[in-house]
Amino acid sequence: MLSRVAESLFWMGRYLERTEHLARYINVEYFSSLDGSNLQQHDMAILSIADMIGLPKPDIDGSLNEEEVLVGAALDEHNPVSILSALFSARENARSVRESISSELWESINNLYHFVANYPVDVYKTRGLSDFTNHVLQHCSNVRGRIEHTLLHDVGWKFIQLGMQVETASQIVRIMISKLNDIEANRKLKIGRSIYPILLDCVEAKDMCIKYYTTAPNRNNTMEFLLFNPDFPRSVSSCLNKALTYLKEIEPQKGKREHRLEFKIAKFIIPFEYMEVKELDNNLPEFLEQLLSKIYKISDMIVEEYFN
Amino acid sequence: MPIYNISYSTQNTYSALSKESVLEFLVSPTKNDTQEVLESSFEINPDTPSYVSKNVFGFESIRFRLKNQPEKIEFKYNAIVDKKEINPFNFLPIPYEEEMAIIHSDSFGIDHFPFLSFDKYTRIPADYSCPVMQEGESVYDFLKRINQFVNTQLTYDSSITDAYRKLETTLLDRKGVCQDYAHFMLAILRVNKIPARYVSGYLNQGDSIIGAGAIHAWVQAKIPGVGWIGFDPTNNLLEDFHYIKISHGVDISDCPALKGVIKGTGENYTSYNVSVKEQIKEVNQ
Amino acid sequence: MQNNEGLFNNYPLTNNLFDEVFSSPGKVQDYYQQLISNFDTITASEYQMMNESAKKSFLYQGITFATYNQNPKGVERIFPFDLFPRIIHQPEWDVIEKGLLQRAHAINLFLHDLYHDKKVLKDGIIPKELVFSSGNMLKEMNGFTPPGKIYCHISGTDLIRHSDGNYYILEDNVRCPSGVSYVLANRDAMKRTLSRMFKKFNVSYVFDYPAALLEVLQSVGPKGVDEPVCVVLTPGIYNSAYYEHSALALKMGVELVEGRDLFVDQDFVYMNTIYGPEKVDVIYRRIDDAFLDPLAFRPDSVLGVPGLMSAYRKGNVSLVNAPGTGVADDKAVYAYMPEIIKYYLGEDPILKNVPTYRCDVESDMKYVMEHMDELVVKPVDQSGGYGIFIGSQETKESIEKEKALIKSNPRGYIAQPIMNLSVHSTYIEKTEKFEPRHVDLRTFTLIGKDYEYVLKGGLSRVALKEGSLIVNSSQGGGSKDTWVVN
Repeated sequence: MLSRVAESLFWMGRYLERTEHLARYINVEYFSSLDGSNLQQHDMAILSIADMIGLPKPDIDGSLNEEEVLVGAALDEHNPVSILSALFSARENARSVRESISSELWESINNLYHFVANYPVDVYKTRGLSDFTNHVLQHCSNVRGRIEHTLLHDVGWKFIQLGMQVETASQIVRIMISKLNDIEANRKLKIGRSIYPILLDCVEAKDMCIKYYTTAPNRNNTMEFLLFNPDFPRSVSSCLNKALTYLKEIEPQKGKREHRLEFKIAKFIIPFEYMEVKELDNNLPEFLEQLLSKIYKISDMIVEEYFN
Repeated sequence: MPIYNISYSTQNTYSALSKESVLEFLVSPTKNDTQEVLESSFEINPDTPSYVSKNVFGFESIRFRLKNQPEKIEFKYNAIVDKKEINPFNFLPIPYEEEMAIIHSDSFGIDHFPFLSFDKYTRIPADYSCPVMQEGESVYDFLKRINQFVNTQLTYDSSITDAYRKLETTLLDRKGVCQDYAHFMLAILRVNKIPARYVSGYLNQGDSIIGAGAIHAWVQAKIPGVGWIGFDPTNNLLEDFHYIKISHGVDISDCPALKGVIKGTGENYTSYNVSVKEQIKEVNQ
Repeated sequence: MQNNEGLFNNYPLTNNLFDEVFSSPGKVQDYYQQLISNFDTITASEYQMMNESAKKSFLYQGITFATYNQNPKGVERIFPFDLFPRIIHQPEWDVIEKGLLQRAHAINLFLHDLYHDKKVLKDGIIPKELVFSSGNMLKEMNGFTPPGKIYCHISGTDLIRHSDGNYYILEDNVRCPSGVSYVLANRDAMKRTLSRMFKKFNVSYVFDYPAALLEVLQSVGPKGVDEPVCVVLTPGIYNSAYYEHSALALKMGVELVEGRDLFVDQDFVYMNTIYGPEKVDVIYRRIDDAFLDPLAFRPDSVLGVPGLMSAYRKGNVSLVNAPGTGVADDKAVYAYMPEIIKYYLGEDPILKNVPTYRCDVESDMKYVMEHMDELVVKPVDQSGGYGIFIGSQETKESIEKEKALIKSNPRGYIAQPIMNLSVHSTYIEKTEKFEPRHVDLRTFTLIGKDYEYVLKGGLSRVALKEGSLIVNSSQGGGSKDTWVVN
């Protein structure tokens, strides 16, 4: 497999995953905050979306233009982290490896791109937010199905998976950081209770988390579930473990053990694997920031090893 | 039989890191009837794997590829060349009529493609009246006349650093370096249907000879019934045992000492040095 | 025809033009009879729906024009496609096929001769100046013999049908002819949209082209390589033909590489893979000669591979098509093609040339100057329909201007009588009716070692503008599926 092709597949995976997370984030944040007991909660949701897509924080008194934020997050081609931009990158990567993927997968990505690129901004702003995000999510799961069922599960496929797992892990951590910030910034509102279910919804984890703990989501169980649950596919630890497995399968099993990428990365994340939430409680934000930079580092290590 | 110690060295400095670059050096003297390479070696700093490849006219170049280019690359080449003291001008020309018949025959023109073609280096501007062969003038006499003509038409100007100047430009300011002299002469000869090729090489340094300290350029022309004979319009001299040939081609684009393909941005600065020294031969037979 | 809503109602016939479908108002050419009666049962609104769904399928497959350069995230255009197919009757096709193969073989012999003994020049069949001054004769190919003596593995020859009903060769394309992927995509869309009609005709298939191309590539591998590694070399995703490059690589199951994926060491070509370098043996290159190797040609090329030409000349890698084939599809050389075929094969050309006047020949020049209003003047070194001058459609002043242009560079121009390209019924979205439009036919011929192939049918290109003769996609042309039918 060409290094360039592997690289494009990896980034295609990352951008597809990013698209899906962004769409779900907008959807969950926006709708969950509509019936809050406090109107500030809705402002907070908009602020939080703005934060996710990298818009500058407004002054303490300055209010955000809701439409601007929502359009910026989804359909703004100039915003490099909008859904449209992420999708554009996913599609450009797919296009550059068009001959290495199935027609079905290409068409589903291309289809999704055209859906987003041609979605009327006016409709989106006024009444289409739900329709838009739901459709994007549906398309995404369609793409996911095509990745699963129409490709050889060979090295190239593993690079796609690698990209998706790395991206998912980083998105979960980013969302957690963002939510902890929200709680911190609004201590007086005592919003923790309503925030944890939203956080779980952002990764489609709420039902399973409640089922697992048979109690309402709280700080402890939410964090533990999203960080460490070995059986939930969108926990950080699941994602990283899967990434490790794929890396192991990609790597030729030769040369010194300690020179292998899988070994280096495993060593890098192993302390994380055996931690407990209670150990972290005092410095959770700090821990999450470190974890995020570690995940980015893993991506850099893969790029360095295989694409340069 | 003079023996020459030849050395060529260059330093390339880059202002920005480039991802990948390929360098090609065409500096090794060729082997032919009049010269033989007794020894040769080269060195690249930092040490880089290289290989020798043949260009379109069969001349050998040294190539290497650099990844994540260092700021500075040094290349040094050394050779010892044995040059035979043959006088290439000691020949009997064929009769004038025969010579002319060959020059104007279709097959002569066809066989010597591409040494009769014109491009930006060898195309005479439309408003320039190009010298032509006189009635009764032999090819050899004409060649000598043009060698001198080109020499007097241009003024040598070592401040010109662009090795790839169009003939048009040269004829505007009437200045040039050895490449420009060579291209001008090639152009006139080709207009007169005499196959002519560009030659790069080393020149044994004499006191008044221009072209020492750098790779030199001159011209070889095909004289019917005789063969390829060399002329140095820069110095108005004939090619003899002071001239050590590296390669020939249609024009400079086939013969530069260094070609580089650099992927990335940034400026590139090259400095080089050439020396040719005659060995005092030890007589111990 | 009785149906008032019929798509062919009020179909206009033009005098002096050969209409491939209608011989006279309401009278359908024999082998279109069945097709027309099938189409006549379709209402305009049904047809529009089919048309829309076919267009959508092109969009979703990504078979679009790259308008990227101006607006990377902008609206994409599809290559206009007409659902009404063109039919070529099998006996007619058999002649075309023979003619194309004859021409392809003659061109290969011609190229081998030009780059070796040059007998064709010495025997005075073609003036040597014509070849040497074209700038397309590469010294890098002089004396070099590619595997199987094949230079031109892929030819895309353009044919037209004149008002006499005969096919003529309009132009040879032997550098990097494109368009074949549209043939495959058009057929696909047709089968989906008009599936019922296919059942009634015995249409020759086209899906075997990629397999045939792969066979050609594998047949010309370097000496001693049993199973050559073949790749398609593309300039990248911003090239207007990128869809084609990726589609062919996908359908052949070979890697699609860019110049930056390849490098040369010890005169061998390698591609960078995740597990290190892997040797490449055959390159189907879709970049022009000038960009192939910055060490040999344009030093500023970032698309090519430094050192590729030395590797090629050493026989360590094969290039398809060979560099330097452009000397054979030069429009001035085209005029000599009948003589060339006769010279190398001792046969008369099966397919005729369009009569051509060469402006560098004195008597031809005189004729051209006197008959500008009846001629089409073409620059010899332009493709894609650029620089074409159609005398009958120009003012006196611009004719004078063109005359001066020709006089300043006679070698640069040829002229041909205005050939009445045949017309074909084509659905026009604006009027929601079928109207006659000019068509030509791009064919695809493959030559490998002991192997030859002609794609059955080809790409019928349609000039969508009323009265226009220019069919190139870059100038507002569309296409039709082409059926070779028994």
